[in-house]
Amino acid sequence: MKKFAKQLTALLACLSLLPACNKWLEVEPTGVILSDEALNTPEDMQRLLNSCYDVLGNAFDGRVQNICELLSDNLAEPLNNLEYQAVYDREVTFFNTTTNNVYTDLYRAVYRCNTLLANFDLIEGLSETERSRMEAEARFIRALCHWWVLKTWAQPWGYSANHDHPGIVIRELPVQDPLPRSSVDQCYTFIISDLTFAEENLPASNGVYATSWAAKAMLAFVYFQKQDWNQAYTKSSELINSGVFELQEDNLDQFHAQDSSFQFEPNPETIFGVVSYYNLSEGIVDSRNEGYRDNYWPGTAGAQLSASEEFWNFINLNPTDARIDEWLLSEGGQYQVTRFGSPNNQVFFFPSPLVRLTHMHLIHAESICLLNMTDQLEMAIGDINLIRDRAFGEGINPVPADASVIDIIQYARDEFRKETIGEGLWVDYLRRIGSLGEQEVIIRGAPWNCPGMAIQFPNSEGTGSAFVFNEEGGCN
Amino acid sequence: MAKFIGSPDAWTFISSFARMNYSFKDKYYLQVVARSDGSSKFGENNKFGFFPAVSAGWIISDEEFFRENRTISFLKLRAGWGKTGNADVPGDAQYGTFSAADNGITYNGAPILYPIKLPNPDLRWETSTTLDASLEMRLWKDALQIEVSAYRKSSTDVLMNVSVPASTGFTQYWDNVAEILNQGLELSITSYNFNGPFSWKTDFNVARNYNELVSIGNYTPDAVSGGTNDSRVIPGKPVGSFYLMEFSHVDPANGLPVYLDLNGNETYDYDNSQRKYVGDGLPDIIGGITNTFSYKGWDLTILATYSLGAKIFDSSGKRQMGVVTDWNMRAEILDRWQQPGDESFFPRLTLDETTYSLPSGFPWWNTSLFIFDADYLRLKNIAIGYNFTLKPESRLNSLRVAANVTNLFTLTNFPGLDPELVRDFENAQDRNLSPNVTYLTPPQERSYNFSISTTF
Repeated sequence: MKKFAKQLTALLACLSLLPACNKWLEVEPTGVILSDEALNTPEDMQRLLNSCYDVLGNAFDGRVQNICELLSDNLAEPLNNLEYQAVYDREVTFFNTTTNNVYTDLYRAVYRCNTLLANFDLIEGLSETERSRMEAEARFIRALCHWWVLKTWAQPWGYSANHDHPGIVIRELPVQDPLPRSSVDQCYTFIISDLTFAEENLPASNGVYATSWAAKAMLAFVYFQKQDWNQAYTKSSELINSGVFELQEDNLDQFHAQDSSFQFEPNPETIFGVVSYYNLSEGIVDSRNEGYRDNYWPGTAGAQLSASEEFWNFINLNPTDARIDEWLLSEGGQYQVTRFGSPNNQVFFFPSPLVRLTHMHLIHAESICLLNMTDQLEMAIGDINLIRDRAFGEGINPVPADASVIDIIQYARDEFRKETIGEGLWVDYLRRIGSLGEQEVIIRGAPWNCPGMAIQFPNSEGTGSAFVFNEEGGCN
Repeated sequence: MAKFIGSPDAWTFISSFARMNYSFKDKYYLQVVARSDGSSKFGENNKFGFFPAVSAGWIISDEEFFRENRTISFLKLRAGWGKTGNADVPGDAQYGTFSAADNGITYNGAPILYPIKLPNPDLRWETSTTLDASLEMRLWKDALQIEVSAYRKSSTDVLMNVSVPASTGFTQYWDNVAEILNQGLELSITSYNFNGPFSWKTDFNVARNYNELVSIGNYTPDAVSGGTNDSRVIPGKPVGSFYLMEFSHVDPANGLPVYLDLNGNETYDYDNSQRKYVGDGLPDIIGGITNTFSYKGWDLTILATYSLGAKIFDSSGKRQMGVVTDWNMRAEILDRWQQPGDESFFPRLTLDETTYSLPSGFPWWNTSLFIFDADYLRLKNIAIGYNFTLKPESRLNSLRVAANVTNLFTLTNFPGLDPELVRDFENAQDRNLSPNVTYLTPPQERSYNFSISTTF
């Protein structure tokens, strides 16, 4: 027995030496780049930043916009997509992969932005100017994604008296910890902070990427939805007066199609959007609008998404409106929306603008009225008439010069609704008007603030935290 | 020493192993095992695990006081305790990774570089501690052999590919998540009923296993995905329990489904937040019985297996016997409500999922209506053969002719194709999380074999 004990002790001693072989366990996988070795040069950071735009290109190719548009009264019932049907019926559950995937994509861009923001110190040779630009672009994209999640997955500003109802998860670090929802008020503060930084640090010109103008336009949107008319007025004024962007009188093709040689430039009123790219010599054929094409282009059974009869009647109140022929087609019992490229001409490569000068003019006009700036009503009417001149012909159907403040507001809202068909923005107006309490807002038979108007979160959000899910349904 | 380089799933493993056996008077046995394992799959401070084991045996029948016993010819008691480790995760599970620089993806013609996987530097060994004991007994000159064993296995830091909040921008990553308990009893009996020109031997075994997910840390039942959307990990319940809204009955007045909420109250309203544990696929007992007969050159073996107490969730059934969609319907749907007063198994037919109070766009209802008893007795295998007696001058050393049938018949009340499911998920976690969930799962085939075998 003593011998046994000695042998056992000796063997245990041998075992204890094993950790000395630690080096044998240092295996580095190949074919992948480890996170702590991925970012070394300014070029690496630029590529990472490009990847943030890449996610935007995937998410805002119509997929995000379609979900928001389905919540409004602009669209008819989807043709046969059950998950779109759930959105339309405002009965999204946490099993809905369409909404879950969009949600995950938007936060995927946020993670990439946060990764970039957390790693500047690793990079050698990055100038302060470049760093500032990258940081501002990343914060712009981070804000943009949080913004669209906030207005789709949470009830709007004004839903509760102090705006302290649940908003969304704010992600400002590249970590995987479960986090609770911040209040809507906190979310607005975060988004505005990012956009303000972006506005102050982005260049005025940056190709198809984010600019200080883009940040300013986003701020106009955010402040407008926050019912801060002063700021919305200021930001939209600056954009309108900048002269950088242009409303072309006869150009209703905001989702501008490529020409015969597959080259295109965004419509000159585009302030920011995602773009397609086509260059055979580089071997790149990159269309970022599938969410639009796959759902608005009709198949043999019709289009998955089409305008509602109510919208069709609304825009046909004046049949001379050029937007009817340019953007809509009554065919096969549907009111098809034809502004997103064209299957007949095989137009696949068009951009998806997110903020346009048209939006700014209409926000500007309404802000003037909501601020009761009676000395500037002429300017507000002028904003709206720019849009109406384009639609009806110059001077043919203007807003009357003596229109009241209330009438001007209604004109601005009507034009916004028509101008943004398919862009997923009209539902924001409906929510805002509802939360202002100036009138009862009923969207397809349900109040603007019924529970299902806030899309349900993916069930994975409930992982490991006291995450509060939205109430499902309750609208029909 | 340079670092090893390998594919994304490359890993190294080093192990040191020591085993000491000690016996005293050939009656008392002691075995001590000590092993230390290191795996590159874990982070810097978690690479090594120490997994000792000790077991002891006592041949009671060799004791002086037992020698006169003419009934029990052999009696042995054995007990053991030990730890084992599991490192079954991908080789790069601990690392956060980025795409390759030349991934070919561009935006606006510009190349991109992007993170593709979350890191988990805290990943560590999954450890199981097992305590077991057995009693082995042979009676009447070994004509009857009985072995009874019991075990308790507690697994901690169980490795799972767990869901992360979608707001991370990712869907899953590997983590040490759960604590799982398995304990059970096993009994096997071998009986030599006849010996001689005609011999008959019976092997019988029965086993009962209790499985419980003791803890899943801070995660929720929905956090661990796998299989279908019908089974989950619920603390206090077996892994892969059915997590559904409980179905009560079909209302004879209107043909609508009546559910039970979390408080057991009847309701027409289907609500995913009212899902709960409504059963599991774990059988109460499983086992088999084999009878082997031989007479002269003939031999006959009959194997029957059985399972009692298990349930099956028919995940394809909810598509084939629920809301009418583009799926083919099954004949069982004939037992549906058609007019007031009908008492039926299935509710009224509908093309509109909201008729059943299901959320719009969600026709696949997760209710207990599709849970069925899965008891069965199966004639698993029957084989008959004949060994020819060859003359010494034959060129053949042996010649055997045999016929064999597998899965000849099954006695069961399960209405689906096969109560003995063989899960067909490629991914192990999918299989583990959906035990006894059928989804167009093909039944085990019946096969007939005839063979002639010989040696020269």
